[in-house]
Amino acid sequence: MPKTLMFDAISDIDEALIDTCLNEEPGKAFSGNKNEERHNRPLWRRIALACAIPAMAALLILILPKILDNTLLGSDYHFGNFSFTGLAAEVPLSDVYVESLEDTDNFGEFAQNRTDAKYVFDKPSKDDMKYVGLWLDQQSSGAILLNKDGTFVFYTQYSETLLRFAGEGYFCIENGKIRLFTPADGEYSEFSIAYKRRYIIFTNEYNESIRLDPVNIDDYVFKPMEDKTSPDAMDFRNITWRLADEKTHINFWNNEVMSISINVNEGNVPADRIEETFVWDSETNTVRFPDWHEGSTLLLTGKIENDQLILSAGNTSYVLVPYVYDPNIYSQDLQLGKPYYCTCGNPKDYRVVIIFEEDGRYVLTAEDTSGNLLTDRYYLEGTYEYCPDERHPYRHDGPEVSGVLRITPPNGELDYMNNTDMYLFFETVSSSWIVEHGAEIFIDEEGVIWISYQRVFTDELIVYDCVKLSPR
Amino acid sequence: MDISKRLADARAASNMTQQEFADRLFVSRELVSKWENGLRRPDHKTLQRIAEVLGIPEGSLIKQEDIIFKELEACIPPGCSISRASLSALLNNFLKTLPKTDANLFIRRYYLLNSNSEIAEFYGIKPNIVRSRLSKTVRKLKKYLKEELKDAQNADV
Repeated sequence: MPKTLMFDAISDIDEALIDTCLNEEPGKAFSGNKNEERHNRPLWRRIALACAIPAMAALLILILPKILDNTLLGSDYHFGNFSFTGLAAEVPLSDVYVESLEDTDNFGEFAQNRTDAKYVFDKPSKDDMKYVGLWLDQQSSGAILLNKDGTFVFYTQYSETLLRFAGEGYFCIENGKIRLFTPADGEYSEFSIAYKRRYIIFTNEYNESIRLDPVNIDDYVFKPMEDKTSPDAMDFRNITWRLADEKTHINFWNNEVMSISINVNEGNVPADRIEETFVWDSETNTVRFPDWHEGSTLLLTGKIENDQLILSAGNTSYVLVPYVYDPNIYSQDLQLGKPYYCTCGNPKDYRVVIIFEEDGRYVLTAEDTSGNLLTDRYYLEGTYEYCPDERHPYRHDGPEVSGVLRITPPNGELDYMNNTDMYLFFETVSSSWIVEHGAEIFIDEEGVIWISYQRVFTDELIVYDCVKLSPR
Repeated sequence: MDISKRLADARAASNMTQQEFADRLFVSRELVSKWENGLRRPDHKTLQRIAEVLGIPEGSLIKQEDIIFKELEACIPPGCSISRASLSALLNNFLKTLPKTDANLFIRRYYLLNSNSEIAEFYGIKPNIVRSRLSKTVRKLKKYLKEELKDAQNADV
């Protein structure tokens, strides 16, 4: 592959696209305001994101008691149906019209410069009752139920007949536009709405449309992921399992996501095994490691027996016992003036080094394997604040947090990233990730700084990445 | 300094007018003007000719771009042989599927070769938002090319 191929291909970008770009007015496309930036996300992603954390938390609340009650493997395991009293009878949308959209991933780009005050969410008018019902976008697996009381419920399609609760809010339709409000994050979105034949079309300000098909509610089973009032609900934030004879931990992160990660804290396990993410599929009672061993997928079956969590794949089993938190373990303070590093590159041929100075500044550099400084490649400096006694709000009950490290973005910036590791690292040290995405920074018993944070790889999946900074 | 400024400086240093420069390259003066004002960008082959005409090392014009484009080259599935025309067509198709803001970000970064700071300043946003959006777009591109070229792996397109 000639290394100039992509360069040349980019030289061939259509002039119309370039002219469109060049004709942009400065500051028009983005406002820089965090809320407005969020409005740039596609509809399903934005609603799903707004709802994902509480919804997944609820899922964990529902799943884990079943795990602990040894019922997960039972054939009679059920979540129970979500109740939609009377809706099916009142809105007989029995004609299912299905036509996949070619591309819904780019649906979005919401109107900006919203002011919250102008939105009033009245109950839909009588004329708008035709929109009441369940609408499904087959392509993105998103579904929205518009209720006659002006509320909406957003679902993700889990299987052909299963919809899972992913969030809720209020809607109103006015002058041909539908406005959605999700109280969970206080966000509004607005689309023009058209009712054509049996389906409705949402269109954003960039004339990107998504078609939603009416669905017979009876065809679907609704499974809630949120039931905070359930007596079975319990807080899993403190639940950490460890492999019985190794230092492998499985953490149920934050009680907020259904992804689970394994920490391999020491030994000869390669660094990239750290923070492996896997997803529990409660339908099949399996755990899937999407990226296990460079792309292959590992399926494990999980069950609880004698207070042990047993993950099995074929003849191989991993037995995990509850990890007992010892606060003394996580007592390391940030070591000032001492370099921390993470190994980067593919192959891992250089290190990024960060030193937290006593004067509140940090300096980040890169060096090759011989310790030679790569100042022509990476150099950052900025300020930090370390609060050893402060609990991070995202992990306030978690055992791993011993303090909060706030890193202020540098004055300069990196013009480019060469590889994923660098990307991960610099995304992490950017304060906005810490503030907006809830990165967690803690120091373990070895004095290693861990920076973990969530990233969204797809519309549906939230996973955690982790950067490990080892002291030298 | 981006490629347009380097090009303009190098041409000026060679005491050539845009017209003379254009004549040597067999292109229009307007195109040279667009190159130097960052409105269009020469491809790699043209850059080689430019370097020859100006008597300067090619690397002095595309040093930064080489680095930038490494991350984009990684979007092409390994083992896949694809022609420039095919890749260009796919890239254009991909850009048309993107939201306008993301397409423009991509063009500003990789065509106009603006730095993240410049883009951030233009839009009035934080550089890390630019990085984040670009990174997502690059991931999308990788996924898109992987999907489009899955039948072409190890074969000529």
